[in-house]
Amino acid sequence: MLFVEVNFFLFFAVVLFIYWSLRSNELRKWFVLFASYYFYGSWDWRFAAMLFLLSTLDWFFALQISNSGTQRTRKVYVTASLAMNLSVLGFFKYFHFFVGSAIAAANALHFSLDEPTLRIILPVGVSFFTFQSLSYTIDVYRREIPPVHNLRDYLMFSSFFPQLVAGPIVRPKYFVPQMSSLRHITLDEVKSMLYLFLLGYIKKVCIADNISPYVDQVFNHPAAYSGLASIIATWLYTVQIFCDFSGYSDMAIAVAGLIGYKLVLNFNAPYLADSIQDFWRRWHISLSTWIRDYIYFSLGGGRMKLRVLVYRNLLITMLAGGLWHGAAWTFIAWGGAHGAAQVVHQEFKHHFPPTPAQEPWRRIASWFATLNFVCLCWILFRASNFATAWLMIRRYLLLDPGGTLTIPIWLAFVGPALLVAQFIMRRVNFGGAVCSLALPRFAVVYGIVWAFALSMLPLGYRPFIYFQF
Amino acid sequence: MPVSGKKPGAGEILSAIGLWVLGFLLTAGIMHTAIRDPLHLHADVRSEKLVMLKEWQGKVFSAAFGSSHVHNGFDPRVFDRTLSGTPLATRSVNLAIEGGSQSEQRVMAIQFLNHLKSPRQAGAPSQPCLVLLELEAGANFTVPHLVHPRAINIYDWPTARLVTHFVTPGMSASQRYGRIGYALAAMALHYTNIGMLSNLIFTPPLSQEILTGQTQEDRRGELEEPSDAAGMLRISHEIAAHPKQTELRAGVLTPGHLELIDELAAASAVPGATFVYFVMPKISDIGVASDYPDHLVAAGRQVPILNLARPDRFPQLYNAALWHDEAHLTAHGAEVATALLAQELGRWYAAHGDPPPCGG
Repeated sequence: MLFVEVNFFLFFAVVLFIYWSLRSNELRKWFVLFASYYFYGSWDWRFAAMLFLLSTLDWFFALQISNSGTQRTRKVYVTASLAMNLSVLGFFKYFHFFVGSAIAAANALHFSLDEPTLRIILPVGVSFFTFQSLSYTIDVYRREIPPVHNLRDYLMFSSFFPQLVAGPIVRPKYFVPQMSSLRHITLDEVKSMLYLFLLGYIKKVCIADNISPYVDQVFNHPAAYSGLASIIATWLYTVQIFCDFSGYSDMAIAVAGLIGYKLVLNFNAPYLADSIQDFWRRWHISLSTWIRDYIYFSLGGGRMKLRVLVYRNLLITMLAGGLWHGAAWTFIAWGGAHGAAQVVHQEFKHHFPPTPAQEPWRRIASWFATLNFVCLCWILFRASNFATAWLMIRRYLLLDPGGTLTIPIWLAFVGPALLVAQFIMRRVNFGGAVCSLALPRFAVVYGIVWAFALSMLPLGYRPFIYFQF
Repeated sequence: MPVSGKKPGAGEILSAIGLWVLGFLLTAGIMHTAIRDPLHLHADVRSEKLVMLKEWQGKVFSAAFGSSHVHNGFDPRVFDRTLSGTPLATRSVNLAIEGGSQSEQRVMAIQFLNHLKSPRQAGAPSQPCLVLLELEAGANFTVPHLVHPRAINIYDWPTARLVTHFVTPGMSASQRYGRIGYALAAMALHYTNIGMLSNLIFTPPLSQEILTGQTQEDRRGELEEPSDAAGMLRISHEIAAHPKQTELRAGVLTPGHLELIDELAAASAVPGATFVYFVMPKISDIGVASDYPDHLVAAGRQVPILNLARPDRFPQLYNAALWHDEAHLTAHGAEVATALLAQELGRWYAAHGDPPPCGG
């Protein structure tokens, strides 16, 4: 059940009606819990059973951590939680990757190994809910939050359907306090959530899904396409992945908002970033802050005596971030490239700090370089293997003229046009202006835009890219 | 929904919903008038068939329509060859489309007839203009294809109205209301332009595979399906497992079948088009087959019903070597079935008098 499907619209209409009809917070929480498991179980009931088991155990571990008198016992329980969540993640997501890599390495050393026959179905959103669960037990261990004593409340936090399958990754210190009181919503909030949902729908369905066939065409047969087509396809993928994922996040935030819960901002115009550090402050914010807080800081972060150790921490963190995205060496290379770019950028800034006079043009040049570097790295992210990635990178750098097939040239303007539109919309606070309309005017405008949005529905739905992670 | 701060009343909320619907419908209406011919928006195989049809205008005078059973079961070359030297000799094409329905058969036949030229106009020998329609094609597309350009683009009011007549009181309630409900839902999607703008802006390229594969070796739209040993073995077992005596049940004819002929006769650019209903075979016919009358009367003329799905009359078709799967013939199966269809057609007209010349 995807947010853009009719099934979800019907499901959510029923949820909204029943939820706001209930007067007690306790009943509402039971109902949201039930709705969340129904939502997740609609993919596969076995996934829901696994989620229930993992959540219950993490709830238990956190209580034990909190109740333990000794540091050693606390450590045992947090280690158990870490081991359990990472084992589940490792088994479902990385089993074939590690076994395949081991076999490839053995073959390179002239040992013959056979891959075990095991058909593993990846539970939807496993990377999101395991990270969310981990942050809970670690926060309790670090004494940053008290444990949740009520199992129902914890199960609701860990399975909250708007963000369960593709984030944003919700931190307990942000979400759990919201559960303690009866939720309310103002008319202005309703309008802004409806606006956000439509914006997310347009990004996902009208933009990402319509351009994905062109991207697939080129990335599936890169040798046949011209250099220009390869560059356009790379730009289009840059647009597609942003619209796909940020569109989903917008809808998730809106769905949660319509039942009175606030989720964190997950994207903040990342392609307007003027450095790689800035990019990671704007892209998939809930993940980048997660890996910063739980990996980078755990390694010592920036408080190391030697700069080289800070860079080591940065690289390890970004490599882990790459691996989180998928079980493939191309994802690790993508994370590594982003880590390396941050190191280079920090060194550059260290040796050549900008003077006030240089600041404006250096920022523009830095924005341009950052955007193109991000585009190049998306090739690693999208390509199915290194050979394809290398070919596409050479084309992007104009080192390979490519084949003869093309895609429509006008598609090259989609990315720049959307970037300009985003810039202007932020400058004039477009969303705020729409939401400040009086209700009757807002309703008419909303109807008009929906009519356009539905006419832009593509031939067939494509699942959200980030579901695979 | 509890609202803190400014709390709108129920009337205000209802009027907001009404204004939302109004804004939506007005915009959709204006857009719909701007999108001139939704039929010609891209829609998988149909777009390629329309391109083929354009290429054949003035060169062919007869066509078979329907679903996948016809798409890979009707071989125009065999049809023409079998009828050559008879009063029914013609040049035909296959305009059936896999996954098709009565609604799609209707729009394709209208396209064919709207642009039909009489043989005399085209400088061809005098011949009948045969419009072969699949009697048992489903009224609508399948449910998963509701939100798809194949359905949305063609379900205007006349199409939806016709489809609602492909029901009889004898049908189960779910079938009756299902057919009508589907037609109405598809019509709503049609008039709200679902997917049409994206179809105009991001038009997918035509499939060269289809265009080449169904026109090479003079196939004229036929989709040739291969046979495979495993499938053949499975179908042999199914044929052997069926009872020797086929049960015959009365076939279902609906008012829609008659109205379709009326509508097509009115749409024809030349007088004298000849309409024929036919039924393609499938393996399950061995157990239960449909029995249809010899003909029906529509638009003041007799329309023959040629039923190949009769194992008692055409046992030669129920041979595993002719089948790609349980419902679709191989290229060789299509040759055998098409030859039988042409012979049946010749026999019917021999008994009832020749069809009128095309073009008057």
